[in-house]
Amino acid sequence: MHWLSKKRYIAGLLLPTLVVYTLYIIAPIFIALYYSFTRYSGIGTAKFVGLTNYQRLFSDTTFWISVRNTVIILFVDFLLLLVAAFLVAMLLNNSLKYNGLCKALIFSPAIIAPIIVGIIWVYILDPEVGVLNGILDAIGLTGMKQQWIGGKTLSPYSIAVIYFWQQLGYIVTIYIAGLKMLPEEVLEAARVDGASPVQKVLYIIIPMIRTTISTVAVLIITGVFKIFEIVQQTTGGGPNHMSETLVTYSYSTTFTNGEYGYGMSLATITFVFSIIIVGLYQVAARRGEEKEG
Amino acid sequence: MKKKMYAMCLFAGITTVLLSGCGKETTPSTAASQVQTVAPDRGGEEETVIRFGIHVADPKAQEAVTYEIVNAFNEKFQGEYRVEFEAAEKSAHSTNLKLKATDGTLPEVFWVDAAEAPEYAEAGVILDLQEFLSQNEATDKALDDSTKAAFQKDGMQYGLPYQSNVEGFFYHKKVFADNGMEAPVNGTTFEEFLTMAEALNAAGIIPIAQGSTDTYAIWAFLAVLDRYGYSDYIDAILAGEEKFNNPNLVACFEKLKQLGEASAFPSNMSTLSYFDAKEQFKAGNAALFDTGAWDCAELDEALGENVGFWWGPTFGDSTYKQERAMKVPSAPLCVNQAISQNEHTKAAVYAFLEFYYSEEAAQITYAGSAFPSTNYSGIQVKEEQHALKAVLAALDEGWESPSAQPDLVISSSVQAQLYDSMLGVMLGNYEPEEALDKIDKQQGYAN
Repeated sequence: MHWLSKKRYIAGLLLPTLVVYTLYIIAPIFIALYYSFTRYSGIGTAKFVGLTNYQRLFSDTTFWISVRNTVIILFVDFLLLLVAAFLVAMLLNNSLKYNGLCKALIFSPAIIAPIIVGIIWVYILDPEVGVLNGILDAIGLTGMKQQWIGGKTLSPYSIAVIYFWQQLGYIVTIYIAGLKMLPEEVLEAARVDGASPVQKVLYIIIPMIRTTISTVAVLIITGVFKIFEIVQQTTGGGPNHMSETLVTYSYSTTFTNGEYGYGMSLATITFVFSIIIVGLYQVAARRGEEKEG
Repeated sequence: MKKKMYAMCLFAGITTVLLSGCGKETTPSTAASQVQTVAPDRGGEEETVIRFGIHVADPKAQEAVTYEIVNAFNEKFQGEYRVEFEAAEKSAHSTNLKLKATDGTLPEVFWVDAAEAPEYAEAGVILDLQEFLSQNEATDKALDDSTKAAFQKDGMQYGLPYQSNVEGFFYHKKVFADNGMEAPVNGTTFEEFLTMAEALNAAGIIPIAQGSTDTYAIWAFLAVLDRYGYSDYIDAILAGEEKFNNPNLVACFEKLKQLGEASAFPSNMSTLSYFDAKEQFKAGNAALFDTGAWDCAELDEALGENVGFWWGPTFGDSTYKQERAMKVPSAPLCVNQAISQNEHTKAAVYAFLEFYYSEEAAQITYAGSAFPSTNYSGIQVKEEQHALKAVLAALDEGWESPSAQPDLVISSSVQAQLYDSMLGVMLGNYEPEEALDKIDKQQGYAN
């Protein structure tokens, strides 16, 4: 297969993918960027308005609510998924009874369409007809009943929990793949040297699966910035935009309000935010590596 | 050489697969100029197929009247013309139309939100229907001037009304009777209604079945805006001479706030959709339901003779006329400008429009308990159409309607904010003036 490594063949085989990637991924980003400087209703001619749409962002309270909600979801899910998924993966990496069944059960939400996930959770979290408040009522904890969705406060936290439930199996699978790559002899040597389980995790396993952790972190961050169907199905971004995330607010501005220009400025800002946060994480992770290395 | 051939084949294969999605659809339904198909049962004679873009996902279930009209048309013109639905739920339909307007693949005939229709007219993608009306005198006469005027701009007739919308509160007679209460009548004041709401709440009945996730579903409350003079000064607001935050609308929004505070709406209103609210009403858990005549058939089936209809409360603190109803042209049907390039398609579309506004179609519409936009008289209503009869009885009281539904005379973005503001006040999330300021702010961006 030596012949395939020739530069011109590599270029030739990469070209179709590059063309499609440019057409469907890169070009739309620039098109969105262009429209973010215009006033456009979706039909007719777009009118160039300079930075007006970006200036409007600063005085738009709904924009700041959507930023706050996105940050809450990111923070909660980053902590929950990064840590809990690792612990579950550690557990499932052992030869336990019903291990396969547990893996299948944990992974199952990941194969359900997000819109269905939203519907399922509406029946759990709805303050009136939801199972959760029903259970609290039934066991005499009526005082703990909350407006899990549809209220002013808890919606972003509820959305974070739903996303955690949906993504747990997927992230656990990635962790397990990383754990399977660990050389058995290193772990065996640690055991012989008398390392406790906690020491093994902290000083051997975590440093050795750093690349996996980094991948997981990037997947969580980018995933949170793409949460859409869960919000649409559970709250529709409401009431009064109080549970909007950056993506859903961008969508409703663009397609419900017909403000394509302003919607594209929101989309651009969302894109920039996600790049910055992933970048910051990568820099922090690299510095950590350099310190230890 | 052989290796080179493999590489070339691989390259060509990948390129073909990856770029296959970039091609233009070439089915008969891509553009107005491509709608000719051959009808196999007519020995090679052409049958012209036109697409009807509609705002519901399942026209048979959700727009049964239109579905029946289209069926009747297809039957009548079998082998000559055929109408096929292009159906999508309202917001998807709206998005699809904009995308199709951009790439020139709009359906030949389509329903479009009244707030968005002028944008299509400005973009030059829809046909001026003056020519159609001048060629079809019967249709022209069947549509009142005020009905046609709702969809005219700079001398252009950019659309014709899809139906007439008659909106207000349907009420459950049995719920009132079972609780020893009198149902509201046209003329019942806001204060009387608040007392009624308190009594209903005390009896464990939700006064008004009202959701908030389908934000547009606040039809009965649009008439409330009108009782505070909205139609009289909206043009001045749109011209920048007045504000939404004015004493009249503040007083109006105060009433919405009072209804919210009196628990007139379901406690889970914030997560309730229009369809959930309808089920609540049909199940007898709520006394009133905010909707329009399009729900008559469904309410007949669920409530039978127990259904009544009310225009909504009147307000003593308003200086404007209180006997205001809401019978207005609904969103328009528009026609793709591209049909003018193809005589067969144009003839098919004109034939369909002529049929859609005919007396035969009006009969079908009434039979389905909806209101056509035409003015044919002497149409019989069946005994079992209780909801429709209740609406007709309310109309017989002679209350005046505005020329257009209040939310359909403003741009889409201001419309969305109007819904948000009204619902925000009902839910207790906004104060009246704060809610009105939000609409003014949005109007500022729209100007």
